Amino acid sequence: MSPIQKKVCMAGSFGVGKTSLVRRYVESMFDERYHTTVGVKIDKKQVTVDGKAMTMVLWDLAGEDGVAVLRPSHLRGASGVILVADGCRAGTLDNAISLEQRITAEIGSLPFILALNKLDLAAEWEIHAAAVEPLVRSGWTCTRTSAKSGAGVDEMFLTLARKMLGQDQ
Amino acid sequence: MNEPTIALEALTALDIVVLEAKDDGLFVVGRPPAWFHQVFADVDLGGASPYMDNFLLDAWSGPLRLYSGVWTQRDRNGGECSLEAWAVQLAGRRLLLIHRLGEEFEMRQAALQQAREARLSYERLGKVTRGLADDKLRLEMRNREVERINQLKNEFLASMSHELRTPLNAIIGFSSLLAEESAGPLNGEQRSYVAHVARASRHLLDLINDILDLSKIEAGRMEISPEVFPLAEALEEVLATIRPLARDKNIKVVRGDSSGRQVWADRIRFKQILYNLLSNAIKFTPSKGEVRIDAAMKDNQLTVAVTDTGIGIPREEQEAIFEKFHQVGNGPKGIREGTGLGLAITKRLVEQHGGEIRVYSEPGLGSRFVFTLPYSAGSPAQPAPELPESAPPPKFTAPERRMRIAIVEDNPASRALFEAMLKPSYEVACYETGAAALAGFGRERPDLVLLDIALPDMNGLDLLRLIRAEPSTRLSPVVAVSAHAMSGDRERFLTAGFNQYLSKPIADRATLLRAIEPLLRVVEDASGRGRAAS
Repeated sequence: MSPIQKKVCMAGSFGVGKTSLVRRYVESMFDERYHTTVGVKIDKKQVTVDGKAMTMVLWDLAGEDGVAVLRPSHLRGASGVILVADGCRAGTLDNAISLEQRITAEIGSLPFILALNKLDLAAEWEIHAAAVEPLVRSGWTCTRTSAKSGAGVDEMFLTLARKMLGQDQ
Repeated sequence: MNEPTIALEALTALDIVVLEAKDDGLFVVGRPPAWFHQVFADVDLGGASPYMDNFLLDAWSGPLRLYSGVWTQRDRNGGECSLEAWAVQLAGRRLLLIHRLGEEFEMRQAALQQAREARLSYERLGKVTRGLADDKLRLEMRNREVERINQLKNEFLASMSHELRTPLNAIIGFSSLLAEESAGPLNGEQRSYVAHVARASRHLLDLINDILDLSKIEAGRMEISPEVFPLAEALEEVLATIRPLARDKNIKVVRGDSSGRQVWADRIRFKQILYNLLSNAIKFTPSKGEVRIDAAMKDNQLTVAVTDTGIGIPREEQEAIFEKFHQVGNGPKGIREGTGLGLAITKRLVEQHGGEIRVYSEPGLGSRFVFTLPYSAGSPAQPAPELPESAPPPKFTAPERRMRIAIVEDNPASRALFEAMLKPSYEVACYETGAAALAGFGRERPDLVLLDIALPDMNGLDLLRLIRAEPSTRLSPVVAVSAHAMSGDRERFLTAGFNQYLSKPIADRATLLRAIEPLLRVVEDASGRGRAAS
């Protein structure tokens, strides 16, 4: 029996660490240097969630800026979304909130997680609990991650995987 | 078949393959023709390329020409390859062009990366700038807070000074009157008690003055007004105060040659430096010891040395003695006298004049404090010849009639003290309030008014204006006697029109008389001229 395949879209502003989170998750590696993503980067990860084999197909979508914007066709078939914000840049949380609205409008409500990344730079964070609290109250799952140290990364993908499986039941 | 082969080769050079979708499904999703892998051996299309699958869903149902955008996926070797594709419908044919991106793409990616890095740097710079602005704001707020606290501290010091000086005035003044035995003789024991009271109250006054001085220095509010004056003159004034202390302890005071030496300094503060060093030397020198003061001028620099044969200062304490509240010898044999502020103030005063102070000491043998003061370039290049020793002020001879002095003071103890000090020589009238004083002046014109500043019904400054407005008292000398003794108070009162200013506590009768007698002489002279004219 072939494993279940789930498409997961990584979305967020440029430079928030989407590619680094995928790399940490798929290859258990981290590169200090910044590598911007052009277009879409596809990766896969085989996981077993609660005894069920699953292939997560990770669509790492280029970060949004004035030039690159989210293409609706890239969202087609997605089972879950990871919205990534950089804890050190308050504006990236605003963008993540805006992305969630656009994604929902485009393909309906999907399991998603908000990842506040760069936990290793916590001292420089601009996104504080007060900004996240209303989102949590409205039902968002928010987690703090560090692609550099790996903190919270596996747990985040696992949580999303469970959410996606739960969606199937 | 030749033509397609040639076309295929040409496109290979461009890293492009062209696939044609046939109705029979020659090219369908997940099943590229076999020759595709001849071109891109390592590229996995079809089921292994979710991006291509997704693109093909749109490829033939959309516009005549559809671009996929760039995507990056794993190749068969585990590396990465970046691709882009076009779906083109042309004259009924459906063509798919797949381009494997190479060097040109890397350049494009590098350019985009640079642009984004620049933007991230810009954002970081903005953050740093905002951080700096926040820091600046915080700093400004902290400065305002410090200013506010300083203001509170100054108000507290002013209030403390005022509140302590008022009772001290009574304690010091009455103990001096008792010591004079003007109210009757004292026995030996009583004299000793009075001496203790006097010493303790003067110590308290020194402490208040030192704290005020130090707080002024530390707040940068100690202003010095340098002038040129003869060293001998200032030294003699200080020694006049020091000699009685030395006599009490049977200590010899030796004054080295200081003739012809000129000082460029704030006169009052210079005397304070000398007094602090000399009184310290007396304090720490045992009976039958010696304290000596020498001065020398070299290279436009005055050097003054105060040497004693006292207990000396241990080496490890020789720096600390210039710190606040440090007292030599905290051990059982230590002598804990004074406020512990004198040397701290002395050092700061010397430094404020641009000089420096050092100590040389050997425990058991004595100490030598040496300070230098520059003889400023702004002062006369050649020391002026020393003025002759100033003659003592002419003795005040009692006038034909007893002169009238009005005391306007609400504090009963201070009022009683001034009355006791003046009554032996003058007619004295006392008033508790400003209104009572004005009414009294109407009946009996005072020759001089001693006026407290903080009266219950009006400010002493307001009362002064009323006195000056009244023809009968317009010319009467008015002496401010106040516990307001903060920096600038003296100038403030003199500028307001007072003829003299005395700060409480007043040490003794002589101090009070020295302040008022010259003014009374002027009054007496004027009235004498008046009598002669009539």
